[in-house]
Amino acid sequence: MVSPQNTPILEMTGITKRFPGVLANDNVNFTLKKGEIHALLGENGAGKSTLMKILYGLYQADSGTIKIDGKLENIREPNDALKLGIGMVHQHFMLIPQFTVVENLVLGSEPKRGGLFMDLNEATKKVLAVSEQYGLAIDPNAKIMNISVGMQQRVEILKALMRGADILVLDEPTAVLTPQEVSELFEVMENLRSLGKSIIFISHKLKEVTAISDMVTVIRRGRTIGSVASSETDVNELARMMVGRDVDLVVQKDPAKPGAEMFKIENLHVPDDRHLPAVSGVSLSVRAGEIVGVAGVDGNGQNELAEAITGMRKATSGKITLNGQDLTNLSSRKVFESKVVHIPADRHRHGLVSDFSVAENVVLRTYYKPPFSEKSVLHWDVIKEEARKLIEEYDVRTPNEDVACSSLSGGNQQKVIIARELSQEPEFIVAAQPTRGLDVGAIEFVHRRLIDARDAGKAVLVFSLELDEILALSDRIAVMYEGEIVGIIDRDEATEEKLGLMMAGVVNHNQKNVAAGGEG
Amino acid sequence: MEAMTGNKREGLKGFKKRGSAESQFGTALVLIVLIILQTLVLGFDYDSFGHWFSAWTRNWINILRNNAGIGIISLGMTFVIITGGIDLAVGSTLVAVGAVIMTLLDTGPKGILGNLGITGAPAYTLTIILAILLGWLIGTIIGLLITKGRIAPFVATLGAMKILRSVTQHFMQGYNPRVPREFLKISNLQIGNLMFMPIIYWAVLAVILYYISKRTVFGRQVIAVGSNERAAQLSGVNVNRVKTRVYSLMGVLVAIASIIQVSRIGSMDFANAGSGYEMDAIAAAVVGGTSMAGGRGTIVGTVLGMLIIAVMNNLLNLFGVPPFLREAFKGLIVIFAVLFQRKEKA
Ligand SMILES: Nc1ncnc2c1ncn2[C@@H]1O[C@H](COP(=O)(O)OP(=O)(O)OP(=O)(O)O)[C@@H](O)[C@H]1O
Ligand SMILES: [Mg+2]
Repeated sequence: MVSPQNTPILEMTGITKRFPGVLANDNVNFTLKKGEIHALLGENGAGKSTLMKILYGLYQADSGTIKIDGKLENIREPNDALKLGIGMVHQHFMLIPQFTVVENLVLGSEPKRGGLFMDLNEATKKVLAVSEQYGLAIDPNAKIMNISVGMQQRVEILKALMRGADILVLDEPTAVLTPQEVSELFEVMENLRSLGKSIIFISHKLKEVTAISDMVTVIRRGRTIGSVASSETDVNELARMMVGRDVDLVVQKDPAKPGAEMFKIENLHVPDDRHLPAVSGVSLSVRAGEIVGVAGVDGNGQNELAEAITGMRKATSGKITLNGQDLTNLSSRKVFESKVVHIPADRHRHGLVSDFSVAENVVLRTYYKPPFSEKSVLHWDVIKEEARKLIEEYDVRTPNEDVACSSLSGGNQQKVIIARELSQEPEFIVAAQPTRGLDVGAIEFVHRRLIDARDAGKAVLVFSLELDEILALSDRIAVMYEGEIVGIIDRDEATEEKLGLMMAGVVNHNQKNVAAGGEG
Repeated sequence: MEAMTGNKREGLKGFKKRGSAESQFGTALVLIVLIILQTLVLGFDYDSFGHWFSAWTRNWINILRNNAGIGIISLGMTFVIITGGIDLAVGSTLVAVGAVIMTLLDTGPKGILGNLGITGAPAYTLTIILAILLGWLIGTIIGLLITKGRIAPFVATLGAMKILRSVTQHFMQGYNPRVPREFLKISNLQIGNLMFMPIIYWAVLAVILYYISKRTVFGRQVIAVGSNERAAQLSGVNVNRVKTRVYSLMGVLVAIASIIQVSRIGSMDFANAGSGYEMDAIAAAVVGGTSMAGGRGTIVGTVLGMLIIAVMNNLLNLFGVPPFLREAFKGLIVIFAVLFQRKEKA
């Protein structure tokens, strides 16, 4: 085995990168040893992705040097990075959905027969050889659009390896994975480490960071705060290094004082994009002053349910009411005007117009009403004032309210949505993956706001794939499996194990009956 | 419980598979319905089957021969649209190449090859080669304008369309080249007493392009570029080269269509020939399921789309629908095809 110590395979020194109005990287130093899993930790907008994009040649640093294997290198574009053995798995996968796994893996370097024809057999052989070498099992002939997100990520990793990557950059790879997929990814990472690959791993989940990485480097507001060995630190210390203060990883809350039933779904059926049933006969209620969490493995109908509630998808039958008022199949503007707000799971598709400025996104739902506009004329001064207020209140890290949302870091885009929705004085909050991509400080803040809303007598429905989040927020927990609610239990009765079993479809009938009885 | 959910899963998978085959199937079904209608209109009758059959065959050969030119162009247009582009210059390229063919072959005093003392088969061969080279050149220049020049395909080809037609008309003003009768055999050679050479060219090219799209590295990269250009780029696909080649290929196909056109009647109306071909070719591709947004489309679909439009035209003709109204039907079928496909996809 290669001795992992002492040989820095990568040295980034004094990296500085300025964007208009932001110093994204300020003299950052980063050293990666061979055969090491090195976590990069920092708040939203700290400059992690920027640093990695510089390494991969997507951005050019204003100053600073990059050494690979001790040799000074100039990385101008991704192809240079690839040649130097640097591979990156992008947060948004760069795969062709209608191609098979093999076709994607060899795209751009296809084995040819007769100089012209694609040699699919040879390609498959090559792919299987590499997949075996690294222990990354895949189905070579499956189409990308038919495989899970976790599998797609595996294909991305294989793609980097097939192009000869020795350094792998994984930017928030676990944000889109189920817990099961996360542990599979970690096995893969450990296996790659044992084969001498070096991995840079970005995550906001501190438990993951301490579990998998050898070293952790913390960046705050573009500067390196320090590097520590994972074995010599813990979750609380890392949080403190990141944010610069103590952070409550689980927000304190008093027991709920639920009032009358406020929001109610009866026997709801909702189809998915392919017109297949995604939600089959769901009944659920949320009381005033209560947070109900919906747990479940991704793809069991949670998204469709959330979209049906908020008017983005039509239900085929069933009824949705808020304070007795019928909301079933109203337009999303009508639903919104009934004081229902929505933090959507897919922020790129439903949450933000990325090319619009932060200010424009902040009034996306209200621009047509006073005080933001009168007689169809927009009052920009009022809009910007509102945006500045929310940026301040929700700690959105942006140079000003006029920059396009696409230039914000992932977590800060999420904060813009949360600021817009929670500032509407809602009666009912539907939050789907509300803290996806947020740093620990921001999660604490968002959880605090949701609990405050509850304590002010609002109803809150949280969809989350994170059991930690479900357990931290909910007063009652509903578990979805294959489009149905297989059980509703009180927070006090819930344990990770119990929820896990329910999520896997091993239904606790008793529980279900009791819950249904209690509901009906 | 377990078993039940198991079944549900199976059901889902089965549905997905059928769903993907269905889009092609739907197009074929429409075509079959139209053909049955057409057959009935032609007065199908058991008693005089022989007579009916020969009328039917003749009608079909007419349809196919009349549409071979646009059919060939629509094959290339499919590739162009799959990359997310568009080519409005095909009609003008057709007349430009046509003008060159006729000037080369002219039997009058100005005929270029004649003056060089090249006649007969060598002249025809040379003309065909030069015509295809010219088509390739025009396509390549358009491709480079789009990729290296970063001009939107719509704009680049709109410009090329104006330039090529205007220059051709200017130089061919008052000049009426005469093409040797032998050259006309390319399209008019009779086999039995039927003339179907253009149909053969169309069919052969359709098969070749089908194989290019399915089996070659180039064909796969065309789809990759159209589906997600950035992903293709980051994977190491030379996106600019793929795009340029698609327009070069388009140029070559237009040149072949031009050869067929000139050799069918021996003359060309430089002001009007080929005008509207771009829209007809786009219509065929779209009816056949090619997405204007890029990334999706097939050669088989385009051939079916072309046939649907052609058979429908023929039907309207047989029904005696006034000519000015026929275009409206073409418009309707394009719009309905897209609505239908959108529903199927959703
Ligand atoms: N293309 C760009 N144009 C302008 N500003 C940018 C651009 N990319 C990043 N920034 C800014 O640089 C800063 C660092 O962003 P970066 O994406 O590196 O953060 P991050 O650490 O990855 O955060 P997150 O955890 O939220 O993903 C942010 O303030 C962001 O607004
Ligand atoms: Mg980031």
